[in-house]
Amino acid sequence: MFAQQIINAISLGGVYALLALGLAIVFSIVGLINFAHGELMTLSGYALLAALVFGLPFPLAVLVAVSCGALAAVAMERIAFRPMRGASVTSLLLTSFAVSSLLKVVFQNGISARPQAVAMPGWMTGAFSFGDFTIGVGPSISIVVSALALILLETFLRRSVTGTAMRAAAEDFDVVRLMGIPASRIIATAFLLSGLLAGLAAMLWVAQRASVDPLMGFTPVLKAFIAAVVGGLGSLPGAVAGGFLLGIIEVLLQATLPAAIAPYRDAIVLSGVIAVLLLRPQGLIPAVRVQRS
Amino acid sequence: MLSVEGLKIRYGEVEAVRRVDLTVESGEILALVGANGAGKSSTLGAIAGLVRVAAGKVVFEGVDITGLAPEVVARKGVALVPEGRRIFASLTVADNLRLGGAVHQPAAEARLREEEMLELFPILRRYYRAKGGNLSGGEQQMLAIARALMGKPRMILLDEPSLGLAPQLIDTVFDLIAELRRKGMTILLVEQNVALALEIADRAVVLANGEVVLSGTAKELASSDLVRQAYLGA
Amino acid sequence: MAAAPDDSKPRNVMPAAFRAATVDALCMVAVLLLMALAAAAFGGAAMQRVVTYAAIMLTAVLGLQIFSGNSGIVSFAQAAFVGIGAYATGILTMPAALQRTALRDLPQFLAGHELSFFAALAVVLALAALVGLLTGTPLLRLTGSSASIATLAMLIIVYTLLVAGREITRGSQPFYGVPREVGLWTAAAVASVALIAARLFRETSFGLATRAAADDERGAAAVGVDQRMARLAAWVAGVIAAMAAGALMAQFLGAFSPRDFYFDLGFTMLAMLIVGGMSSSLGAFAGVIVTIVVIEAVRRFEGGGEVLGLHLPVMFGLTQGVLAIAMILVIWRRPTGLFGERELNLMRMTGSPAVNASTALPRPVSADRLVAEHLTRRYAGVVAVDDVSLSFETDSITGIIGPNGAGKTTLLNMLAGDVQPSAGTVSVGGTVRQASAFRFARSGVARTFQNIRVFPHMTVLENAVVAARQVEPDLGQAEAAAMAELARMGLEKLADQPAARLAYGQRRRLEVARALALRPRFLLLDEPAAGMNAVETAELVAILSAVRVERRIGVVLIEHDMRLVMTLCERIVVIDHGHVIADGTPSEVQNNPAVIAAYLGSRTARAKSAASEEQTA
Repeated sequence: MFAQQIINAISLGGVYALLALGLAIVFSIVGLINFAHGELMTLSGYALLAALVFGLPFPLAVLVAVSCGALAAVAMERIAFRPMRGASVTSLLLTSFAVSSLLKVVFQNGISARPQAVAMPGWMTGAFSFGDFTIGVGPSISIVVSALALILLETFLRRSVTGTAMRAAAEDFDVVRLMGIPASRIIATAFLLSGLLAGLAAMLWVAQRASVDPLMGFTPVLKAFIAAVVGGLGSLPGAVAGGFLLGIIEVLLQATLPAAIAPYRDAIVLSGVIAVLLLRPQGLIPAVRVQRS
Repeated sequence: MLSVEGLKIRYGEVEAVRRVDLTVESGEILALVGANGAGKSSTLGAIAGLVRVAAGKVVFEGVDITGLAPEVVARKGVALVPEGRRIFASLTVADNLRLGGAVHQPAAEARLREEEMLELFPILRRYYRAKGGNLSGGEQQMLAIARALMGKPRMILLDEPSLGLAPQLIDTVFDLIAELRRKGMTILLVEQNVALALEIADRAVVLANGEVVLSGTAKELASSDLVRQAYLGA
Repeated sequence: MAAAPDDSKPRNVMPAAFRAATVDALCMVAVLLLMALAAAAFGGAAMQRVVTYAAIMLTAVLGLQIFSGNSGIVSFAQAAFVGIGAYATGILTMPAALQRTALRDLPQFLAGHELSFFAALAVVLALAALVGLLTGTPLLRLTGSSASIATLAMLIIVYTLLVAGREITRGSQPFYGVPREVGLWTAAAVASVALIAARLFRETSFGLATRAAADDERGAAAVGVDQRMARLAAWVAGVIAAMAAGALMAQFLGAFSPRDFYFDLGFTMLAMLIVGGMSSSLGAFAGVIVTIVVIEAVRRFEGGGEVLGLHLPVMFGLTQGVLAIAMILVIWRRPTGLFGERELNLMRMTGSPAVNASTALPRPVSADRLVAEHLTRRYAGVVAVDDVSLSFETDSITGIIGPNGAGKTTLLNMLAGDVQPSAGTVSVGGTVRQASAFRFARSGVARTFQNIRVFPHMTVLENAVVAARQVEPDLGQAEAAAMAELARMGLEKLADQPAARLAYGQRRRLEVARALALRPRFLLLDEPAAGMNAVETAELVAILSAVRVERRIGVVLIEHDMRLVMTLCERIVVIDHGHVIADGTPSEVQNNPAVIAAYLGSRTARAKSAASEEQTA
């Protein structure tokens, strides 16, 4: 039982971490808190549904869905945010908030306001026994996928030139351009990565619920915002730490809170988060940013 | 090699640069000197594409590069070492160098270039895996210059390389600049420490209030009383 | 602009800013009441409901404007406070009999009050002050985006509490049975009060301070603004307005659920504010009207929607979609909103008499000292200022010079309390002070900045008034004193202009005027002549000399224009590599070999000066 809870906790934390990381990558480069991140997740969910309806095999459908999330993120930057480059943080934040609302309306009217069932392969809902423990296949896959994604991303950011340039751009964008690296490449890559992560998170989310609805991305991304801020806005390790922390606390509270208090879980978790911010206003692992006079 | 004609730069309503004309010949050091606020850094920024040009023209190797994005100017072979060094503090020395060489297509070429740089700056080999932010000011200046050279530029723009450095370190940095010159690099040097700049430069241009007030060979200017006057008001 | 009447104290106790604000507010109230009247006289029940709803939303949006508009921090939590207000009012006013069936498990102390609407409103307002303080305090430490996300967390927390607190709220089920006593006139009355409050808040010391800090945080601290207190005040005022709107909403709707006070409401309110213009009460007022008209038009269009075959689920989403598009278009095309940043400012349009400058000269300051002892400041391995001890007197002008990067600005920042020394102390008038820019400013150390930090979105007069209010409790006199400082700098004709519209030289002078409005004993100037032409520089020199003679303050300035330094200053301190290398009269300094080396220093000259130092040592 306890092992099962641990698995669930890490699995949920992994999803939050992927989402928070996507938010943090974009924030570190362009200073935008992307409210429409959740809609990228929803879009990937619908793409999976469509691909399966078209009869694509499951792995291919997942590939299509995740790519859709990534491409949509890049398109979103081109259409909605690029005209605003250089605008204030507040304007960017509000624009993404409006884009998010608009996309929700589009999903509600263009597809359906009601949840659509997604036919997940049977093996994903099973469980396997491990000595005395019974462990769900879904959460286990979720952990493996999150871990792989984090490792791959870390490798990309450490090893590739573009990845290194992105870490540098978070610190000093102008100087990165002085090295001959185009600004548009950095920004497009940031959105692409955030879309990829949102798409992956969507797959893990759908796998556990087997349905898609217009508000699917809403709640997890809200949590991811908070994870990103607790971790340290714009800090990538912070986002991962914040995501796991939030996921683990949520699941553990869910498991341990007495039934009478359980419905208050979110309020308790978030009050804790605000308390953390009081002690560390810059977050758990603050972002590095060059101070220029 | 590089010519700047009638350059004008505005920040809002302030004219930081009113009119600057200068040319840098291949293989020489041209020193751009003047008091703080004279418009030296703005001029360099405009050449590198970081600062918007209000009027005038910048031509590099016969190509008009006015108003091009900084990444495009860099790829044409002009590298700026910005004021205050601005190395990537959270990245290792190795990564700083790697970004400098990002424009090289084959990775082998970049590696070769890096080896050259480590020969030229032995201190960087020693701190190869250290974070840029942990280096001292002088070491950071070396790193900033090495990073700029990684892209095999045909010309480098140095903005106040002596800024905030202790005297011995200034000497080291300036010896290095002289060394680069001997190797045939074309250098546009912005420096507020006039005598230091004049010792090393072939020619110099003096800016005041965004305009060229004096220009000539370094020797001529070194013996001119006007320079002393402009600086000390004496 | 005639001189003030003979006696030096202005007659009007109420400063002109408040008079102007009151006129504006009353005008907006008149428009609101006219609309209510029109709805009551000519509109049907449906129309009256729309206007009532508009008035309720206006109350909440004005609250949002008071906080977000003045502080620049977007708050998502406003909808949550409307919710708390609504539930509190619902419980307090519900008929006891109904309450026993609908809320069986309601705690005793909450049960059976059956208050009238206004009694309940009074209780809710008191509760709002408490809730505001409780929620505002954690926000004080956060800035910008982090603060916005924290308000988002608050929205979720409140929503969770409303859903989970079944005994009190019936959870996610509808809360029903609230008497529907709020009609058009009650809503219009409360909204009128909110309009007046929002318009006046801008002009209060809290309002000015919040706006100043939003425009330029360091600049605000330098004129003595304690932005935390000011921001908290704005937050509490915003929460009070939101909960008042909630009280109205409860009795307007009669039945509601937590979902009514979640993201959709929050989004609608933000859209209203952004469309109209976030930074003024006029923007909030106009935004609410425009948006409500749009919403109603869209609904009506949908009512006849058979043409396009639109169905019910579309109907709800379409208004949100239209609002989203409106919001994006406004942010793209007019980032300051349809009605821009300005208030109505009717008084100014009619050319009513402006502020009279106080004619009384500020009293000369008494003798005093600003002393730095062993000041050191390190940044990541670099020592910017290294063991500097200096003392400055009132009635003197000192110039600090030195090469770029020598540590001059860091030293000045420490003298102004803006930078915490790594070691050493600064004392003002014999008292050692902990670094705190706003406390230093209030205790007589005023400053200007190298890259000017005036408040661009505030008027020239407001810029100076922010500072004057920190040292002058009487608002009318503070305004008159601020005007006098503007006149001193030749800016009185521009008093009503936004500072952003000033030319560069004028902005520099405004920054000096603002610093002088603090009635400082010491004035620290960081490159006051940078970017000025010869004529402007000469004017500045004349003004600074005159001010120093009039008030006997101590002026300390960093400057690169040597001519200015040599003519204006009687003492010059030269800094190089964080050390004081010379301290004396202009002629002494000019001939000091170490100084020549630092400035013109070739390697040989440096070697010589080092040798001569060794000889003297």
